[in-house]
Amino acid sequence: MIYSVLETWLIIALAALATGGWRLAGLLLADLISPESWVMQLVNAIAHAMVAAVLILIMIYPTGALATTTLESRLICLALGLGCMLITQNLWLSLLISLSSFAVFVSLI
Amino acid sequence: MSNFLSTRQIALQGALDALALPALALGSTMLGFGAIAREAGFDFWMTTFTTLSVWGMPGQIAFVGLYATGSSMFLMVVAVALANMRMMLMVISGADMLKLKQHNLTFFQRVFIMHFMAITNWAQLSYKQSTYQPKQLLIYYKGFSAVVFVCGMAGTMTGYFLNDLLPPHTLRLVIYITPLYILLLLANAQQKINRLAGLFGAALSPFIYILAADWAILIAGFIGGTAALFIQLAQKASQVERQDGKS
Repeated sequence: MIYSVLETWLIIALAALATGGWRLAGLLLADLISPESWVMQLVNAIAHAMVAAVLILIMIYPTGALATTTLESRLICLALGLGCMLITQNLWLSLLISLSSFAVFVSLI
Repeated sequence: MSNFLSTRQIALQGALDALALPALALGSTMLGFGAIAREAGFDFWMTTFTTLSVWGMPGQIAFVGLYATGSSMFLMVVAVALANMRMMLMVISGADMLKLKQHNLTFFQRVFIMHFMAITNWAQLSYKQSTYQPKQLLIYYKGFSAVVFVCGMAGTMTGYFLNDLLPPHTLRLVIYITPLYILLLLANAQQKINRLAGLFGAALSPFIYILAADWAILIAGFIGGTAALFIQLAQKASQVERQDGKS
């Protein structure tokens, strides 16, 4: 269906509330959870797992401009970057290696 | 050494770290969002206000994607709420890393600070956590977040008007930077349990996605995080056992 201008603004406001509500809930819950507890460790671990999941999904099922590259090129270059990061612990070197190999891949295809 | 740095220097360091790449990368991702939002039928102010008020890239993309296909209002709000549920966990975890309770801030100041908590800032916090003391980390976070936010807003606005500013060839390279950068930060997370959780989440989500689509992020997050915690607890228990055996 096609939404009117007013309806669209309403939807945007609801989307903002839907996001802000989670942030607010997080802030309130943060006061209740003791930093040293296993609950905080679990929350941290789940946050890491979720963020990794979001980004891997962007890498594997991309939309827009990234969707015009091949899955192999995206994953191979990611693996190169991760491998370099684990061995050297050097963020910029890993980024450089991964991005330059991605640039080569993309220009070849 | 970081004890002797002034407030200004720390904020500047945060701003520079943001400018070095993450803010520009996020700005480019938001450039993509601006372009998609225009195609979906948003006007300039709607597009700008969405980035300003939601400030969570994957949720925003899902949102305008559904709007373009004319989905029901209910479905759109649920999709955004679902895609951004991780905000709650990132805020809890971010408030813990920043030791927000120790800072003597009013509730509204805390709400304001946490509005900027999104993947890029959170991952940077996790990465820099042990570099600074809590007081300094908050200043660093403010400097970093301000630059990321300005670049994100600028990207959104520019993307709305100039969706063909960059040739597609360059654009796809630039859009690749944000997920790559954050995954690299996660791989280097300070605590082993968090690296493990990231690994599990990343490994599980593509398969769960086939079955559960947008729920995959939540499911993979909960399974990955819980599994990592159990592994850590089991390792601790076996260490204790070994020590008991020796004594």
